[in-house]
Amino acid sequence: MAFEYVKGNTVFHRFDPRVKLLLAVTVIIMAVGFTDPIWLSAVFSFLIFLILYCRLRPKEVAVFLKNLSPLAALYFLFNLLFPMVTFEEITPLATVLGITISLEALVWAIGALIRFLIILVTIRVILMLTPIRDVILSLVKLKMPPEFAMAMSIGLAYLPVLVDENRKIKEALMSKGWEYRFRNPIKRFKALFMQMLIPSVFNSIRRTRDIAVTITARGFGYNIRARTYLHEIKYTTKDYIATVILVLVLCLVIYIGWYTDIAEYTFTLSLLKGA
Amino acid sequence: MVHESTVISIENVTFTYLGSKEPALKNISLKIKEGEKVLITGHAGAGKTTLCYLLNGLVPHFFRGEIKGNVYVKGYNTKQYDVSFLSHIVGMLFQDPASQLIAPTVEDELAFGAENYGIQPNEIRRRIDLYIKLLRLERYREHNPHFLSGGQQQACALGPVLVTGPEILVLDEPTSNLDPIGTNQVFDVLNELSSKERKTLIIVEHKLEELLPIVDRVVVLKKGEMVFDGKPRELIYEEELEKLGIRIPQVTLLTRKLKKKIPEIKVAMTLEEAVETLEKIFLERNIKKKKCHEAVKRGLLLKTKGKINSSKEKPIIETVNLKHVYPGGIEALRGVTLKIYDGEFVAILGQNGSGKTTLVKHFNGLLLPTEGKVYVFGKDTTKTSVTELSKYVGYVFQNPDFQICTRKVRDELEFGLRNMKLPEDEIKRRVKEVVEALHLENILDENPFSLSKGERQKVVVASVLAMKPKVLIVDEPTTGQDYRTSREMMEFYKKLNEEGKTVIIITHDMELAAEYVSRVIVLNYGKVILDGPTHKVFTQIEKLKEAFLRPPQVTMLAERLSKYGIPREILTVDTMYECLDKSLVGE
Repeated sequence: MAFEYVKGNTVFHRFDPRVKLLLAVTVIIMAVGFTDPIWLSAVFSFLIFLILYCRLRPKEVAVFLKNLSPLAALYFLFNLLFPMVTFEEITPLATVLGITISLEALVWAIGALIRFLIILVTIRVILMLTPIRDVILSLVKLKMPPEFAMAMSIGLAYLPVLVDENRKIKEALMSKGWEYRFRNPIKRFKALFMQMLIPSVFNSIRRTRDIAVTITARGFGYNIRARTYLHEIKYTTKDYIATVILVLVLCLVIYIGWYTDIAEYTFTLSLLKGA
Repeated sequence: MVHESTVISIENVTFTYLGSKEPALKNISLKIKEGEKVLITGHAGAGKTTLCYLLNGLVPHFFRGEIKGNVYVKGYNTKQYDVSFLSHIVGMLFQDPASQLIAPTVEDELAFGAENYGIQPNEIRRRIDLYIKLLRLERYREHNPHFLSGGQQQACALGPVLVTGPEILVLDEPTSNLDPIGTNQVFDVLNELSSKERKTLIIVEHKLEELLPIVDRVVVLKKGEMVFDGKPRELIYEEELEKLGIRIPQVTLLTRKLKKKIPEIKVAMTLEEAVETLEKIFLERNIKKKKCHEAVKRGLLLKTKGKINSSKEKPIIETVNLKHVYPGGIEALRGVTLKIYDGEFVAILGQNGSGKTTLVKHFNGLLLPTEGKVYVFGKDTTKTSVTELSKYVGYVFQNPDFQICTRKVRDELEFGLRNMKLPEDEIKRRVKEVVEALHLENILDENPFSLSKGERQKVVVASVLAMKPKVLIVDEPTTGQDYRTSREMMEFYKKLNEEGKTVIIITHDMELAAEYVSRVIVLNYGKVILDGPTHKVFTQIEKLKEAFLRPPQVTMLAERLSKYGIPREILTVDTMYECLDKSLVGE
């Protein structure tokens, strides 16, 4: 099921969840700071290494990427046709429907696509590497209000439930002869979205009330400052070392990303033009 | 016991929910002592749950309305203390287990309450280790509670209440989703807790047969009023209570009726008591086995109900060595071969997680076999769409909330018909038919989501029936309903069956299955272990036990009295009465 912790005993599994969060932040900042496809590919390779090394069910990640592909394609096209930068010079490659596609735009769009994937895969990988409980604990340790952390925890615990519930709704609808497998994607989307929206919304309202009643009756809010946590998280030597390394990397990334242009899309471009 | 102190004191409370005209509770006065075990029962909508809400302050703090009178919990007036404070003293388990699971793992779920009260992690861990065993959830410590079976979810929802360790436990239908033996296990756990730790127990339940021998006291509600408050022993003499939709143990009904003819008979509360008092009469009157047997054979019984198939007919549903493996490797069905014939009334029984729902989902193509074949009206389901099959096989799911997809009852009833692309006048005609059959006239323009659960269930059934399927599958039609509603529903399905529809129900309710259906299929771990006419299946007590099931009380009584010539195949109180009447009283 999606968003579930995958057990393991690699060094990455054993890091304190705060280190894992810092790792995720570092990778995401790389994705934001870099625009060059080669640099970004290097970052993406690191994620692939992480998935294989920690055995984070590579097949499921592949399915995840496959499901994302329509959205990713859209994002790529958008960046290709309407790049968010102005290019100094333009090397036209082709003209589609009156819009000129340039080499610069292509390089930019490839970079954009990889960034997009890095951000989504990073979130996915960190959640597979960290039990939800640990994510919440680190947020609480990082001084997030417990109410907010609790809301996040419940939300994350419910994600697989919602997936399951959608399946049930779909099955019930199908049992009444409902058809949604239209060829036409707009028709399909309309059938799925409109018909499933009503039960989903009403169930969510009811569920919200039930959860509120339950957590109140289990004493949530009794004395929130004195709340204890069954699991404690502790920084060990390896966590300190990892933190120092990550902070250094982060500084470097910020320096490269914001104060130099070596990780800009122009890097690949110049290589291509040089060749 | 000496010096029992009162822990709960309800003083003349009347409560009306905001926006409601009728009070949900009227003039309730009740004092509960420390360590007492109290059963609260009554028909659906009698105010049982509202009474529970009073005890931890959810009424009036969360569910608002007008309240008169006072409630004291260990001396604290609930009006002046908030829910999270009172919950430290009164732990509450709500009705629907799935709606109260909030944590990502079972362990976190169990710890949740204790963490809120600032109990030290070591102590929480100690308590979790203790209760997780008691609740049989050790293996699932790191699992997401939402993916446990219904029974395990119920155990998991009870967990945080126990780990928090309140003195008073309020449990609202703690076994509604459980099979008979699972039910007994939960009650055993509760009984053990209350005697070991002197917890005060307040249980809302319909299952009197299991609870009367355990509890000290019974409170019966009727339309918000308390109509009975006394010992279980006193309750069994109250004939009026039967009319309230309360399920009186079968042996009680039987002995009470017999007592009118044979005054020496004692009204029984448990199976053992019934056996004792009846055996005594058999011995005293020195009734010979033979004479009894003759008497039995002569007039009566075992009028086999419903239709029994003949092997010449063609089955309408057939599965051949059906196996189903869910993604993730869970083997839900391990080779099921069966045939269902036109016009049958079949019950599929089995413990939680035995594969019942998985099996019936193959009957309309929602699931396809991993191995083996399923034929519905001769069509291979792998080659036929669900849309096509839905014209023949109607399926009513367990939870109505996932099946309602429009904002008006009328639209809901028309939904399936529109999918079938029927002409407008035909749609109108069919809607009219089901509306009349199920008395939905007054709610046609309502939003289905604002109806009560029972009504929502009815709307769902109506919307499926409007499609006029030849086969109707109903998943747990009586779960969480009171006895009277359950019977009404079974009567309705019986009528449909008599009109020629094939009806397949999934149920945990042995008594109702025994009384209504003609054929029973018992599943255990994905295999059919029993399949045959109801009276033949229900006499295989040992085999049923394997599947965590138990025949109805009268059938077990028949088994115990079989040495006096009582046939084992008795399924209902009426047949048993007729039979005992003939053999004990004679002509």
